[in-house]
Amino acid sequence: MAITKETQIGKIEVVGTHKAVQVAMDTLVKEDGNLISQTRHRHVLYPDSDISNEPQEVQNICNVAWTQEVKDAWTTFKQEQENEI
Amino acid sequence: MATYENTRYNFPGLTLPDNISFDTASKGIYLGVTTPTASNLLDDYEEGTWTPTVSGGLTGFTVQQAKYTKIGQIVNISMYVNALTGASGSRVDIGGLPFTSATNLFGTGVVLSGSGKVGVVRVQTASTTARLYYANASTGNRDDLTGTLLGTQIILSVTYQTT
Repeated sequence: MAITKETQIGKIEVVGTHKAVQVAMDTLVKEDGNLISQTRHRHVLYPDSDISNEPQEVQNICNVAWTQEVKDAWTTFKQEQENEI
Repeated sequence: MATYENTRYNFPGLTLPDNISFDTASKGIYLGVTTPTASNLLDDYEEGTWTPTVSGGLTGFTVQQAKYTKIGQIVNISMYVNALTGASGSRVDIGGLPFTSATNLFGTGVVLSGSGKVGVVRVQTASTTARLYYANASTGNRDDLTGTLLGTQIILSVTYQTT
């Protein structure tokens, strides 16, 4: 009886004006190859996020979605939010 | 394998022996209508965990549990953290929410602190950040819930709209 655990990308979505990249990572626990447990963990990346530790597939999508125009708009938006009461 | 397309059955009180799944993603069930309309389609349900981050009035905490449930475009998050560190007089912002919020909408929720302070949470628009506030007893206005007001733990639950 072998128990294994693996993590894989469950979903990558690019959403909203600011091209937020929503990443779902699934953790699969298997017994002799049969799935016995699956959990999902999520995080969101924005144009100023550090993506160096993200899976290559995620990095590739971020690099396509986050044009300089998108990055500039995000910087402006964040500044506006900071100034908001 | 038999296939059934555009077939109508009448099974009162239908009971199935297992879960239902679809061949493709983003398929769901039209609820409460006899004619399918997009606004009645329940095609998204998900539950999982997320990793809270903190900025402003704290430098860190220990995450005991952080979970979410998403039904359609509505997300509910819950979080319990303790062992707060680096408390200061600045407002505490919680980041790392599992989905970005919708543009021009703000989610709201409740926060309970280890000090006994009860406050409200506001999820920023188009964001994965939630700001912590409390009602000033004297003025009735919203004040920043700062790190020094929180005590040793934060418990919060928020509901917000996604894109």
